[in-house]
Amino acid sequence: MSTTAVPPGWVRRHIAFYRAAAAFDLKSSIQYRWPTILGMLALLSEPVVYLVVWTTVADHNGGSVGGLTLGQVSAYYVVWTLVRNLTAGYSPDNWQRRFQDGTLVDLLLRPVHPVHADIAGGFGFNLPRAVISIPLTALLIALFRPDLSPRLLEVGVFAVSIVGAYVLRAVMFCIVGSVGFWTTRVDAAARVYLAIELLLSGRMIPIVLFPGWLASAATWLPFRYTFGFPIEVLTTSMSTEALLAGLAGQIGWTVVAAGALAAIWRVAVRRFDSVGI
Amino acid sequence: MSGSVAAVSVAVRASELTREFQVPEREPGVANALRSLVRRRTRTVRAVEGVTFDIAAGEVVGFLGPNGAGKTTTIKMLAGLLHPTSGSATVLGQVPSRREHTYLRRIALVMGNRRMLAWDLPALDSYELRRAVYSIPSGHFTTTRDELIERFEIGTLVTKPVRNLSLGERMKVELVGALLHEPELLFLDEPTLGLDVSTQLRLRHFVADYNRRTGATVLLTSHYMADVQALAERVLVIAGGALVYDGRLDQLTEGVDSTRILNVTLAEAADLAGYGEVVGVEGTKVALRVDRRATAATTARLMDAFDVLDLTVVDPPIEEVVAALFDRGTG
Repeated sequence: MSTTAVPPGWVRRHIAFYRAAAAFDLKSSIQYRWPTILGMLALLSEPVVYLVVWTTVADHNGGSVGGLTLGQVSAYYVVWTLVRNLTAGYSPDNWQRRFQDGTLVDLLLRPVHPVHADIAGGFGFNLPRAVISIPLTALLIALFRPDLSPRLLEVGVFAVSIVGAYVLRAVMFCIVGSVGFWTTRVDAAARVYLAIELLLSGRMIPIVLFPGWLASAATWLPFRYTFGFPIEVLTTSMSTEALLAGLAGQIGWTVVAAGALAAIWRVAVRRFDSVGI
Repeated sequence: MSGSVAAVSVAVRASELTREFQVPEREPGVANALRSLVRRRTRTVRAVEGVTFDIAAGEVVGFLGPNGAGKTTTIKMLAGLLHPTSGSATVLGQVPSRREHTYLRRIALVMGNRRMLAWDLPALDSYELRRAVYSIPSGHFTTTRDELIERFEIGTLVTKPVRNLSLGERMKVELVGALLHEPELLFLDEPTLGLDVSTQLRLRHFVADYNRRTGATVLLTSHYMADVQALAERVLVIAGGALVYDGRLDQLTEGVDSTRILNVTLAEAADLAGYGEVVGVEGTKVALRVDRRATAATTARLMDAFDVLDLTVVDPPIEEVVAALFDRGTG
């Protein structure tokens, strides 16, 4: 009776699902015009604050901060704007809602792992934001005149690293969301994770400005690959080997995170109690 | 366990299915709240205990029980949402708790108190997503979707955001969404909850029609006996987490309640307390509960003693019988 007794292969099924889920969440995103516009305006604030603060600090320090010139600081936060908006996905807080309002039940009943819904849906939902970030970045370049002249190879690696950063973040968020199978307060775990990410990813402060030991630790941890690495690809002169090593590191951490998620998920779903939903 | 299904293909087999929950507990007050930060107190609640039954392929079975009896927990275990604490379940030849994608494609769970469709978007958008989720070929999806929309007469509803639909309208579009991948097994948990009588009727017709056309197996829980009476010949009754009845609905009364109700209309009002338990009096109409075996004799005695204008013999209302069964299970 079922029309899907012989479903298409895994790859074809997932490509079709990714397209549909991205389109679906894009439709959700643009369903309400005012929240969309206000959300985009809010996006402007964070990079502008960083740019103003750091360029002011650089000005007071004789035109540099921790060895970074004013132009390099500007470049970092201008590219930051692009990275922040192109890698935005669903926050792990989203999982709290799923546990509380029961939408997790629907996700668990689907023959597709929820991480795919998050990767595809988060992309669709944030697509307007990603699109608007491109002219916004151009505007910031005009205003802050960053020291930015990437090679073609760096642009290519940057494009790949953006995809990698987005996927790695989505998988990490899913791991944080899985905490909900043990405690219903995912938001507490999400806050801790986002605070660590803010500090160690290079989102708030370029890693090069960290104390030596912290910079070294940040280099080995996954968070740098979600922000710092893609930014560094465009704003610093990395050798080809360093670029490829960075990509390998990002892929490696994504594989580790995906493996961890699979392992955690196997245990987590056995604990699901679905209480009240 | 119902013996009648042993010879035919078994869609659902639950064997000693048990599920326990750890429930946190504390007394009210700030001091107790602070104490619970350091020392958590939990209680083990056995929501379902040793439930065993089979359901044949294509069968429609009603699942009855009072609130908190374990109906939804059982259904969630069969749907693969909850992992049993002990015991086992096999559904459509697969183990639900393994949550294999090949299994999840073959079932659907509709819960009356929960929405599956996106709140802000028209149902058609959610249907399109379900097409991709279940890998339904485009042509087949369009045919199935349009046919379901036509059968349920929801053509004008599926283009409105779901949040703008009434409860009954929403339930109809939800059910259509759940059937798009043509599940072989349909779990319906209180699907008519809060619906008006005509929408309840339409929903029942729809489920019966789906079962007839596709041969799908249906396990239905409802607080409305009319749902179960209209759809299921067989019922499972669960109370206090344990299965207390598994059999035909029409035999439920006989097995549980040994009385019948005589509705007598007399020419003049009279006291019939000596003939049985008077359960209702309205002018010259008296409802009398008598022992099932004494029905004929009591009827004859009444006819002899009074000027009887009308007399009918009926089984006690099914709700009463089921309530008695619930009490028996939880007592």
